[in-house]
Amino acid sequence: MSSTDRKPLVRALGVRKFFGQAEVLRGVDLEVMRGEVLCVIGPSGSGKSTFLRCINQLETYQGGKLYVGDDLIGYRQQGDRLLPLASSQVVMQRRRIGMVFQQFNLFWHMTVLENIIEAPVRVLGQPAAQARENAMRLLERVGLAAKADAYPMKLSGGQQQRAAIARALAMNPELMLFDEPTSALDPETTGEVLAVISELASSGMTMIIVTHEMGFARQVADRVVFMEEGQIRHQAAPEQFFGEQAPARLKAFLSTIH
Amino acid sequence: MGFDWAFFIERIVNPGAPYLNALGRTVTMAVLAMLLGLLIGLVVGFGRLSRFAVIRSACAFYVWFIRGIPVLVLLVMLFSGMAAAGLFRFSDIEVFGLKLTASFQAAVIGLAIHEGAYMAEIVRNGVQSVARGQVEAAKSLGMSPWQVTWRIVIPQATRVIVPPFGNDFNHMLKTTSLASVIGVQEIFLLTEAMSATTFKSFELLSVVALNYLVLTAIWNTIQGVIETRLQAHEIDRPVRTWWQSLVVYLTPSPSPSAGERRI
Repeated sequence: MSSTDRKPLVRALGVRKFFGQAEVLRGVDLEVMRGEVLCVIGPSGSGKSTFLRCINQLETYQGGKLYVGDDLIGYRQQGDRLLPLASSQVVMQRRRIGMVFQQFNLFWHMTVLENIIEAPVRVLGQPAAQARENAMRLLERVGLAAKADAYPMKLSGGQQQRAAIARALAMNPELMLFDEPTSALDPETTGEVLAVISELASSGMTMIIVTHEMGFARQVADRVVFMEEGQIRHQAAPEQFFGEQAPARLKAFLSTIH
Repeated sequence: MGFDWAFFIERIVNPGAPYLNALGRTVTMAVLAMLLGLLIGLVVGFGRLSRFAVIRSACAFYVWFIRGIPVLVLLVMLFSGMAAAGLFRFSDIEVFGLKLTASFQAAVIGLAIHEGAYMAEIVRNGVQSVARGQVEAAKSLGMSPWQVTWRIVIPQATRVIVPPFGNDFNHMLKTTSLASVIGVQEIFLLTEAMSATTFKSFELLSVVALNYLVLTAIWNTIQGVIETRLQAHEIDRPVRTWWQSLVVYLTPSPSPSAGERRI
């Protein structure tokens, strides 16, 4: 859905990132509006996951600036210098950002319900009863209420991913990041996870989704971004992005996927 | 001559207060040394993974140095060696009305220092076994480094740490017999003393051997219950309490096997 609120929630200004000598992000410029759903596609190694991980500081970036709301991610400005934030401030910045991983990463030593209430109780200090009530509502929403007391190992991949989405939502984030959420799933369970993400998209959540599911991107995204070699090469609304006017390189990439 | 069964059984049925005291001392020494060793192991094990090179090297040095010293040498060094050199002399103290002899303290500390070096490796391995994705998920939820460590890393590492920890404790229960050398009145020293007066060495040593066997068997069960509890996530029956863990441990579900069937 295209929001009428044209205020960017995420602003990347020339973000650069090195792994040793290799430059994996070569100046990424991007704005994501509040309520916007952005899908990022591109070949593997193009830096799309790395960019996503920079937003919630699972990776640090070394050049440019990255804002979420008014927060300058990872740094504080002092005069004309940027100094890395203390870990306590990094933790604060992450609270407003939810992340869903390719490998789900549910805490396997906790039940589904315990997974979901962990951060609201420990990080936000919510009373356990309230957190549990909220968790059950979220599980209802992702269709997993019956599995509240199951351990992750007893769930299918699709169920685990839906539980992981509920866990991220329990922190009431203003931005959700999805890092190839269905890449580890078989085609049958992929559908149930995409359905949950679509429902979330239509609820007005701001989302950045790294995905290889082109059909899904076309259907759910307000805008699609093509990344290659650490840069954004093309971006457009889905109709144009997947249309005949797309640049040749993008068409070539899309043809390798279909 | 032959084996004096009557004497052997009498010693088991009616061990007497001094022997029971010595047994208590053996168990207390093992438990205290293990707990202290675990504490050292946690500090040194995490230290080996520190981001500061100085801490990493200091902890690696500890492990290398201590693992190269026989426990027996370490115990005698602590108790007699340091006193002889005038460096430090253990003396009897009283804690909560309980008298702790100098040799008992030296034994607990010596065994703990030794165990700490082995525990450090066990802890390090456990921590390194925690998948990176688990830590990343916790971070992405806004958990602090401290919360990530206590709520995610340590509970998950514990599953990996407990089996070798149990193995070490089994070892520790028997290694306490070395404390006899510095004069701790534990079951082996008492057995030696009784042998000297009764000349029934073989019977008495059989009793003490049986005793260690019983101790390790009890620990084996306790360890099994702990491991069962920690495997709750992969057991079909609910394991939410210690009682349930005991029941599941003692009555494991038969694994399905191929049987006769109709076609």
